[in-house]
Parts: sequence; C-alpha cells; structure tokens
Amino acid sequence: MKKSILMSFFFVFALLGSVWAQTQTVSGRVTSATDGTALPGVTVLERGTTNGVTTGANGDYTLTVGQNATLVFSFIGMITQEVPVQGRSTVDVQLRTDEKQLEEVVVVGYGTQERREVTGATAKVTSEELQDLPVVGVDQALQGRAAGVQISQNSGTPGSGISVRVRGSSSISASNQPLYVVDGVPLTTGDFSQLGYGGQSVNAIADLNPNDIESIDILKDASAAAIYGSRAANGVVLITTKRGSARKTQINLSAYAGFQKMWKEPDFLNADEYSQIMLEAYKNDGYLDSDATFEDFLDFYYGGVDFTPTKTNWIDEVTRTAPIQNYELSLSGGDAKTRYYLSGAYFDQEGIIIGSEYKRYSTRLNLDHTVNDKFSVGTSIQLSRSDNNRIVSDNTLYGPFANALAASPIWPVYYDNGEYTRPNYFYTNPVAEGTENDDETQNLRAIGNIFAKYAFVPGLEWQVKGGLDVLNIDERRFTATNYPGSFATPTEGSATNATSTVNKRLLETTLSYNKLLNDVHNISAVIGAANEHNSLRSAFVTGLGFPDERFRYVGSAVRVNAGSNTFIENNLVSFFGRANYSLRDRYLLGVNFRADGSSRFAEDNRYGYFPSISAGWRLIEENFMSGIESLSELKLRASYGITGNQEIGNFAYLGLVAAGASYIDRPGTAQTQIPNPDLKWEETKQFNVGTDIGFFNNRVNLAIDYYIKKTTDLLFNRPIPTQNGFASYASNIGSVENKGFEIALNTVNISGTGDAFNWTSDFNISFNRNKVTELYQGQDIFYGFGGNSLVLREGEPIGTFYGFITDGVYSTTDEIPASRQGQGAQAGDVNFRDINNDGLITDDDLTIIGDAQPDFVGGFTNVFRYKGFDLNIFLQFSQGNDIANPAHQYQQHLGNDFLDDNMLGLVRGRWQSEGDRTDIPRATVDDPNDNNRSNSSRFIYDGSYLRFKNVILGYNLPTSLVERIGVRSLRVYAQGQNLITFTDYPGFDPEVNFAGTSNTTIGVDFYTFPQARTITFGINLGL
Amino acid sequence: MKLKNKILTIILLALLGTTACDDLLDVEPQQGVSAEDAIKTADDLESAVIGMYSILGGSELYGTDLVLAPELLGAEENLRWRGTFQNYRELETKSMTENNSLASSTWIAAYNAINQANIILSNLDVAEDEEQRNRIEGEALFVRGIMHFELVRLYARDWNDGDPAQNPGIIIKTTPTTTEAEARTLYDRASVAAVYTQVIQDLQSAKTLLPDINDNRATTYASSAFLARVYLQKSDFASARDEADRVIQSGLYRLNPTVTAAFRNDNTAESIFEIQQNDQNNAGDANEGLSTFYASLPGVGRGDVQIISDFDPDANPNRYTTFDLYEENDTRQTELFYIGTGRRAGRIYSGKWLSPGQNLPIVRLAEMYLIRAEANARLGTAVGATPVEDINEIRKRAGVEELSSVTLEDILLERRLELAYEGARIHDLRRTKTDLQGHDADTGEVTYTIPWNDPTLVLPIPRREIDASGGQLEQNPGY
Repeated sequence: MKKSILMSFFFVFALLGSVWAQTQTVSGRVTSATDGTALPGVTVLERGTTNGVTTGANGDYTLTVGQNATLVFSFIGMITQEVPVQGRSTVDVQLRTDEKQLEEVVVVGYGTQERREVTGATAKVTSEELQDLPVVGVDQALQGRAAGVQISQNSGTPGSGISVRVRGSSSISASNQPLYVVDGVPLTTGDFSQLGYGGQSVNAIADLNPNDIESIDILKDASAAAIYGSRAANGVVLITTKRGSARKTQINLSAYAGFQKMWKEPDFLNADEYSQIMLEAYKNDGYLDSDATFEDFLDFYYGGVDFTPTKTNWIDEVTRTAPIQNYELSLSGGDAKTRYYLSGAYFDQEGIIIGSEYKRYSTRLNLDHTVNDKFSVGTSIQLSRSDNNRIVSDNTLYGPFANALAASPIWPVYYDNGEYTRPNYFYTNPVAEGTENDDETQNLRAIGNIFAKYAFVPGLEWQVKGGLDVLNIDERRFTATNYPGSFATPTEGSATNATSTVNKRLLETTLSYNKLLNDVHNISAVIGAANEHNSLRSAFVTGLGFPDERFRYVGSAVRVNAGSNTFIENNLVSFFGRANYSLRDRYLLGVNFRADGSSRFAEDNRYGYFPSISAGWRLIEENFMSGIESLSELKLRASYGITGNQEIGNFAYLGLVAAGASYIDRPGTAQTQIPNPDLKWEETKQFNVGTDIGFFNNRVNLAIDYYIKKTTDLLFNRPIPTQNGFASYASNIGSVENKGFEIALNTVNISGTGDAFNWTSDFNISFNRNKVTELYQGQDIFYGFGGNSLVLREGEPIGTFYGFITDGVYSTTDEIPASRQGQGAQAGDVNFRDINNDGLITDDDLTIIGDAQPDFVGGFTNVFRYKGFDLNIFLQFSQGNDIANPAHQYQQHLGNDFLDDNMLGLVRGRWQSEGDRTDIPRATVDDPNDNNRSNSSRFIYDGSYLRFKNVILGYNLPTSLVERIGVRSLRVYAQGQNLITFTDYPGFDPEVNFAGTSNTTIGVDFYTFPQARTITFGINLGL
Repeated sequence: MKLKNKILTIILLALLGTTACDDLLDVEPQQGVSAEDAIKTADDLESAVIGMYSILGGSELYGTDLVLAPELLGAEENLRWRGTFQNYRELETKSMTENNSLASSTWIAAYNAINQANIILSNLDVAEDEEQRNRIEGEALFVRGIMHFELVRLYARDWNDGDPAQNPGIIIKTTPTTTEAEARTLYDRASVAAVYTQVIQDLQSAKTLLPDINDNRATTYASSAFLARVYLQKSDFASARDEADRVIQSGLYRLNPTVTAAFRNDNTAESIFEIQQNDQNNAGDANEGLSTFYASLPGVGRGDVQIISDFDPDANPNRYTTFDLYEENDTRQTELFYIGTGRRAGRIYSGKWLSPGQNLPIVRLAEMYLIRAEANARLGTAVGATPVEDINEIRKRAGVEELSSVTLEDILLERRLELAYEGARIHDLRRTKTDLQGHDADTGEVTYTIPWNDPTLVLPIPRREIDASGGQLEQNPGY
C-alpha cells in the first residue's frame, strides 16, 4: 500500500510543469460594482500560474505578469472576472455580487453540493449559530439546532458524554451515536476511561475546539449517509473547520467569562422536619415508645452520637458558584498561493459540584497551498490538551453530589476536632469525597490530515489524503483514608494510574469529476478507496497502602497490587462512490455506494455493501410554475438506501479462551465466548421523502421530511440454555423501527439592512416514533434497577419503564381488601394496582408505566438586530418524555429499611392517621407493603420541558468609532444559558440520564449531577 | 489520448493500493486466543484447570451464593436480611420468583464450571505424564461432581422427599460445549437419583485419581469429604460414615486449637477444601463476597446479614435462634460473633466472614467428625470412634463441657452450632425433615411453619433457561 501511494506521488510530481516568460508590471484598483467602494482582499492572479497578490485597503494592487497575461479577480460572494492585460499598465476592475454563489453550500460525503441540488435529507449548522455559546464540545452546541437530531446532555458534568440521536435509537447493543467526520477524517469518539465514575462518561469529541468549526452538516437519510456505509446507520456529522482565504490577515480575539449556578434546588427537609419524621417511623413500627424523643432515636439508631445534632444543608456544602472562561486568538488570511488559519484557545469550566473542573488548551493550524493551477496541497492540524478533574456521580456510594442528597441533616460536616463525620450509614461524607480525593484525567489529542489534490483538467480532480487521530488519556486516582468509610480504608489508601492510547490512521484516495454539458446536463461523481486502522493500547497499575495523605502516587504504595496492559485493533477497508446528475437544474438523481470490509467479522461476512438512490424534482423550474411569483423554491425529494452499524466490539464472532481466570495467584484460562461465524452488521434500511419550499424570494424556507427507518439483524446476545456453559452468544436477532416527521422553518420576519430593524427566526421540530419490532422469540428483555424497571418489548419503544401502577395511598383500613391486608398492607400504605385481579400484589402485576421517548423535540431561535444591537433567543423543548427517578425510593424513604438519608420536602404531606387523604405513604421502618419499591409509577414523572437555552444580547460598536482606535470590529455581549426552564419534573433537571450515553437506559435520574445556569460576558475583537 | 492513459493509471493505482491491503482485515485478538488453539500443551491444560477453580471461587458459587443462600433459606432461626438486594431478600422471605437473579446466576456459573471441567476432560491426552494426567482428570471430575451436587440439592426436591427416581433433578452435562451448534443442544432434567449416581461416580473416580496433597486444591480426601456430604444428604449413613472416617483416619488433618483459626488463617490444619482468596483475587468487596454481606466493620461489609437473638434469653424460655442456643462461654458464640461497628452498626454479626481477601473454608474436619458421629449414632455403630467421642472433640475445642452421652438431637444441635453460617443449614433441615418455624420475637412462640419439603425452599429453574429451551425444561412446583 505505502509503496503504491509513493509511486502515485512521484507520478504527480512528474506531471508538474513550470512556466517561464518575459514580464511586465500592471497595477490598478478593484471596486464594487454596486456602490463603487474599494474592495480590499481581492485575489488577483495571473491565469494559469500561481503568481498573484491581494488588494490592499484601498483596493489597490500591483503585480508583475508575463506578456499576454490574463488577470483573474476573485473575491468571496463576487463573480470572478478575467481581464486580459493586453499590454496595459493599469487595469481597474469592478466586481459584481454573485447572487448564485451566496446560495448555501452543503457538505456531503466526499464533496460539496449546492443546497438546491441536494436530494437527501441533511441539516446544516454554521459557525454563526455556535458562536458565543459557553459549551465544551460541538455536540453540546448542536442541541436543538437541527430537525431530526435529538441531543441530550444527560448531566451537568463538565466535559461529559452527550447522547446524540439522529432520527431515533436504531440499536440496542451496538452504538447509537452518529459517525463524526472532521475535515474528511472520521473522529475517534466515545469513552476510553478505565476508571469508574458512575454513569457519566468522558467524551472524546470535547477535545475538538468548537470555535474552530466553520460549519456542521448532518447527514440524516440513507442517500446522504450511505457513502459512509457500515458506520452510517446513526447518521453522519460532517465537521468542516475554518480555513484561511486570500486576503489581508485578520486577527480575531474573543473572550468570555462568567459563572454557573444551580438553577433549581429541590426542596429537601430541614433538620427539624427530618428528625420528626424519623422519630415517627420508629414509633409507628414499635421500635421506639410513643413518648420517645429524638434523643432516644439517636440512642437506638446510632447507639448515641458523639456530636451535637445540628442543621446542615448538604447541598449547599457541595455546590458552588463556579467560574467558566474561554480565551481565544485566531489569525487567518493568506494570498493567492498560501492561505492559513491559526488559532489558540483556552477554556476553563469549573463544575457546580465541588471537585469537578474541565480545562482545555488547544491550537489549530489549517494551511492550504496552491502549487500551480493543477496541484495543491494542504493540512489541518489540531493539538489539544484537556485536564479534567472528575467526580464520581450517579449510581455510587462515593460521590459528592449523591452523598450530599443522602446525608442526614442532623450531622455536622466536621467533628469539633476537625475530622470528617460520616453522615449516613451507607454514604461517606460528601465534602470529603469532593475534597480529599484526586481524580484527574488528562487528554492529549492530535487530530490532523494532509492532502494533495491534482486537477487533470478542470472538473477532474484526484485527491490523496492521510489522516491521523491520536488520543492519549492519562488518568490518576488517589483515594484518601482521612475520612470515615472511604473505600480505601481497608487497604490504607489506594492509587491508580491508567493510560490509554487510541490511534486512528486513515489513507484515502478519491477521484472526482464535475461537468456541465451543453448547459443542461450537470454531472458530478466521485469514486474512492480508503484504509482505516484503529488501535487501542491501555495499561493501568494500582497501588495500595500509603503512609498518609501526603503520598498520593502509586510509587509510594506499599503494595503494587494490580496492573494490566492490553492491545486491541480493528481495521476497515473501503471502496465508495457517488454520482449525481441533474437535468436543467430540474430533475435530480443521486446514487451512492460503499463496500466496507471490517476485521470485526468472520471471513465469510467481512464485506458489507451499502447502496442508496435518491431523486429530486425542482418543480419551481417547470414552465407551469412560472406564474407563481411568491414561490421561490419548490422541490420534492425521495430517497432509499441501506446503511450499517458495526460498533459491536472487536472479536464478537470468535470463540475465545481468555487468561485472567487466576486462582492462588496462578494464571488460569477459561473459555469466555463461543464463536458465531455468521455474525454480521446491523442493517438499516431507510426511506425518506421530503420537500423544500421557498417563498418570497427565499425569505421563508420550509423543509419537511418524512422517514421510515428500519434496522434489522440487531447485534444481540442470543440466550442459550446454560447447561452448555454459556448464557448467550453474539448473533443478529431483532429489529427496531424509527419513523417520523421533521419540519424546519426559517423566516426573515422583518428584513432590514444596515441599522434598520431586522428579525429572523429558525424553528425546527421532530416527531420520532421509536418501536422495537422484533426480539428473540418475542421475549421481553428486562433490565434497569431491580432487574426489571425497564423493558424491551415488541411494539414498545426503547426506554419503556416497567413496574407497578400506584393508585395513591389507602386512606382508611376499610379501603384495603382483606387479601392485601394479608400481604401486610395497612392504612397509609401505597395502593398498588392489582392488574391481574387475583387480590395480591405480585410480579404478575408489573406492567408498562411510561417511556422516555418524547412525542416531539425541537428548537426555536429568534434573532433581532437593530443598529449595533443584536438579541438572540434560543428556546429548546421536549414534550411527552417520562423520567424515572428510582432515587426517590431513598429520597422519600420515610424511615424504610433503616435508612437515614435525608428526604424530599414532599414527604411532609405523608399519611399520618386514619382518614388522611394523600399520595404519600406513612412513615414506616419495616414497610411490609413495600411502599418504596423503586419500580412504581409513583416515581415516574413527566419530563417535558421548554427551556430558554441561550439568550445572547450583543452590541457591535460602530465601525467609525472602532476604526479610530485601529480596530476592525468590536462586539460585546452578555449570554445566559438555561435562564428559564418550564417543567413539572420535581428533580433537579429534566434533561437527565444517570446511565450517560447508554442505548437502552434513557430518561433515568439517579443522583445525577444537574445542569447549571450559566451567565457569561464576552468580547469579540477583530483586528 | 495521453491524458486518458494518465487517468487510467491513477485510478488503477488508487484502487490497487487498497485492495492489496486485504490482509489488514485479519486481526488477531491479543487478550484471548481462539478456542480451537486454546489447549495444545500440558501447560495449557494446567491453565484451564486454574481457570476452573477460578470459576468455583466466583461470587455466584462458593465465593458467596452457595454459602449464603442455604442460610437465607433457613433465615427464620438464624438471621435477618437487612440489605437492599431483592434477590437475597426473596430467599429470606421464601418469595422467590422464577426471575430471581441468584437462581439464574448460580445456575449459569455452575454449568460454566462444569463445561470447563468437560473441556479439560476432553483434552486430557495433551498431558503425556500419567501422574499429571490423572491428577488433572481427578480435579475435573471433582469439580463436575460437586457442581452437580450443589445444583441438585438447591434446584430439586430433596432425596428424602418422595421418589428420587421419579423427581426431576437437574441436567447432567458430561460433554463439552465449544461451538454454537453444541450450545443450542437441548437437554432434559435427569431424575434426582440419576444426578446423585453421576455425582457419586465422578467423586469416586476423583477419589482414586487425586493425590493426598495437591497445592491447596482438590485431593482424594476432599473427594471423600464431599462424598460424605453426598451420602449423608441421601441418608446413606454407612457410606457417609466410611468416607468421613477415611478423611479423619488419614491423619493429614486435625482440629485447629481455636474456633476462629479456620476463618482467620489460610489453609489451616482443619481445612480439607478451601477457596483461595487474597486482596487481589476474591469474590468481591462491594456488591459481592461473603464479608460484604456478613460483616459490619469499618470499611468492610454492608451489614446486610444480621444475626437474630432476643437478647434476653432468661426472660424467654423458648430459645430458638442459633445465637441463643450456644451454652455459656462457648467460644463459638463469644469469639465468632460481634457487635457491628461499620454499616448498620450496633447489631450482632457473624465473625466467620470478616475480610474480603480471606480464604473460604468449604469443608472442615469438624464436619467429618459430625458426619461420622451422626451416622454412627443412626446406625448404632462406632466406626472410628463413638458418637460421644467425636462430639466431645468438637465441644472440647469450643471450650464447653464434654458430654457423657449424646442423642441424635444433641448431635444435630452440635452440628447446627458448629457449622452456623457456613451454608449447611437448609440442606440439614430438608434431609432431617425438620420444618422451618417462624417465631414471635418477644415470646419465642411459633407463629408459622414452613414444612421441610415446601416448594418455596427449592430454587426455581431460572426463567431464562426455560425460555431458552423453548419451554422444554420443566419448572419446579410453585413457580
């Protein structure tokens, strides 16, 4: 392979010719044809050479050219002009605005298209929409911006994983995240952390600085995505970074700083209320006499306490007003031959929970060089480092936030002697967990590519590209023992150092052809081939036993007791192609194809083939439409195609015997997996039909799409009878369907240029219906808390909650059927619904009690401009999704199971005496009715919300003013994120998932780090 | 024309460049080896044997559940489950469903161990040394035998309950599974009697093949000790007595001087078969492991298994909890219980399981004395020693007065006190046809009775197994 590429290079260099001729000097001025003003930054090039300059501030240029030269004047948004010099020494030119070129260019797989030519379903988000947002990563910034793309932040953990679902969840056990492609090179995404932090993962996308991004194009349907074949089933996100253009160097300095705070603090009991309820529970069940005092409770429960009961607000103890800041300097510019974009940035976000912080340092260099009019080369390189202080969260006994919610308010943070308390039987001191431990993750990331292009004739271009994405994660954890209950106490301290290196190499070659024949047939085509090599090398070492907290690295450990070192790889060999044909800009046809060979499958199933076809009809170009003046665009589109999903782990098809089954410190092996040579890709067939309509000279643009997306051959661990030694093996069983509508509407409501009032709106809404359509032998799959709080069932969506329906609380003993009394139910106990009417509450009464899939999600942006002011209001919403909060079994425990956690304020309304009418059960320790089982509809909530996600008020100082101080532009702004949220959800934040980016566990809140309200103030300076 | 040639060359180069790399797709795993190549040498076989013991020590088997589950099923007189894990609570309250996760995970792990044993047995010929080959064969048969035994006594009706030749037992598996097709083969449950026959056959073969001493792994005497258990469970007292006697007479084992020694030290003189653990390799210290559930110490244990006592035995003549039945100054009470100081502190906990890294004695010599005494007493014989001599060996070590004579009840009580919280209880209740009694905590009066052969004392065949067999596998009554 290497050899043949080298040969290709030689071949190309051999083709390079040089041009020599006699010279003369020509100068002149370039102005705008519209208003006659000078145009600085216009590229003036001698045709057929790389000889050129850009015009200065007054539009002037001087160039030495050959005899018989022709000058080419080009500038973004203007029609390029060619002017023969014909011996003149002065050539002045007026450039006219190019209406056509202003039309949106859409990035598609291995190329670009103009919006009107597109026949697939794609969405575009530009840098303007992303700027000034206080976000870590690009995925976070995309939330609510594109129809059909549902993005959930899951938690407020800085730098954590974000769920991106393009047209719903299509897989149960393989990945559901889209493929990210940065400047043509697939991006390593996912979580490569080796240490457990509860539910929230780290996010390799966060290494990419969002401010370097020029545009993002999301390929949603199969016709657009099929060219990415076996990785395209979840859609493809194409990211294009900023590049320089031939103009005077522009320097941009932008900075913002601000703070974040919890936007909502749910009502928890204060110490007095807490004491009262605990006492009540122990009296109710006869553990304490009816005249017992809280003192008696402390004696009974703790065997007396060695502190004076106090009133601690634990949430206040672990949350803070946290700063966020970002500084960035970029330079871009260049001349006709060489163009560059260079940036450096620093981002720093502390989390609102103590102990959490994310910092990123990044730099990017994008360089393009035109060797001659046939040959050009370029590179895009980003280097970044991030320092992430993480905290354990969600489903844990050792997280600052989780432990703060659980801690009993009567306990102080510290004893009088300054030592930490342990304010809960199960949970350690939350302040200690957030303060005493080290949890550092450092990412070093290099993402880069280098390419060479050669145009044989205009329209026929060959490109070779090499790409690299290297991610090194270095993690260090030290768990101190200077607080009671630390999990490191039995081992006298514990430290771990883990490193992972994720390597991706890509070599790709494409040949593209574009031609307009006879002014009516427009043909564009590309074919290519690529090799991709991925590897993951990881190692860790753990040490136990530390003299004291001053020694925090494995080197100081008494026993280095565990270590590991592994290496895995997978490769992909691909051939692909695309052809588009349009007739008179009216009839459009597109064909995509990809063949992917993957090392993840057995020899007979190694190659997958992914074709797609699409067609469009631009009715607007038809003669019969010519009378309708108000319509400016009318296009019908339809597409059908096949994409795949190969994210299943690397050796699922093999029968494996693994080491690691050690015993008496001797190495052992055990068979871990049986083979399935028939294992293959998940296959998604998608049909899409849509229309693009423009009114009033495209002041109103409407795009509507309807799709049906069926995923079959789901990768699934097929259960087998285990007397054979294995419970399951990897196989292709089951299917999932997503179908839905997407609507995107962009309007210019009030069109004002210059200082006049201007108002534009972008609205998008998506209705996706997700459904599991086939499972192995139609069998339900239960999972979640208790093993059955969620279910995968044919005909139901992924994320269906399962459990008991509760019909309030028995007000009086008489209401309770005798059979239920026999099961222990008393007045004040929860009335679980007896689904099968057998008089008893058993597992047979479990049923579906909700689902996490929204009816619709969307976003609504309004931008107002007046004089120098601009106001951007971005709303984001989700309707009809349920949230399960099984943590409420603890946060409303009412004494149950000897818990001493604090409780939510709503338990104040509990049942207390015969005849009370309420939905909150009585306080009881023994809880014979099992009131607090987590999988009941009592803990399922409506998770709908409407949120003022971002509000930005900016002011551009008048040009006349800033030019006086030698500045090109100056803008100041204030931004608010999560300013207002309308929701009925009683937890911290409706945008939540304790299981992070999980495929099947969605919409579950379990002690999850909530999102913050963020206020920032920023400045953008152009020089 | 020339241009066309150039283009063609480029395209060919481009495409050839990648097709030549098809071998890129042959990627070998580095952390595992393909199953076909796994056992090629005697060393490979030894590794597989180690792997087999590793499965035995897992939390689903001897690491936790095979020891904890029989105690939870007999909770009424011993302990109270205070933890949040539903699966264990269902065992305590006899409200298991066929989805109980312990029932499922223990079944899977036991058959995983059996499969590993069968894989070893089918690859014995790679070991050329006869001594080595015999030992390995013996170890595999030992594991296959004891796993079938553990399964049949948990998942089927007791031998003494009805006709064992008719009652469904568990699936007997004596062939290895390495391919997908084999994995899909369906089997029916064999009768209880057939399973016992297989168990005895495997353990008898293991007994002849295994050496006296084997690096703290299975030995000929470990086989005898398990055979003694098996025979006792099927009330074949003469055979039980003889196997127990063989272990005692070997002279390789002796009672530790203190009752705590077996649980505080590794591989003591008393230990016949023990699961080896240390700080790195153990059944677990967070959500799994015996100390995790039994202990309440700073940093160790969840305090989930609380020992019950009415605290004031004088006021209550109806002593019924194991804790309250110890005589005064019995070191098995004074040394092997403590008041918790970790999670759920202030209550009584068993002192047998205190540390996640401790070894887990599975069969101790004390049990052999108890089996020999019980069998001799039932048979009216005195093979090896008289029952009273054997019982006094145990009592002497516990620091309580020796007896001049013993009844069968005395022997069974001594057995209950000696083997408390070691996973024998429900099996003893069932084989001795002793009903389980729920008591009023204040008065000690019996409030309810669970018959010894009640279906709720038998684990369900896991639902997933019945589903995976397409409904072919027969469920136990009551589920």
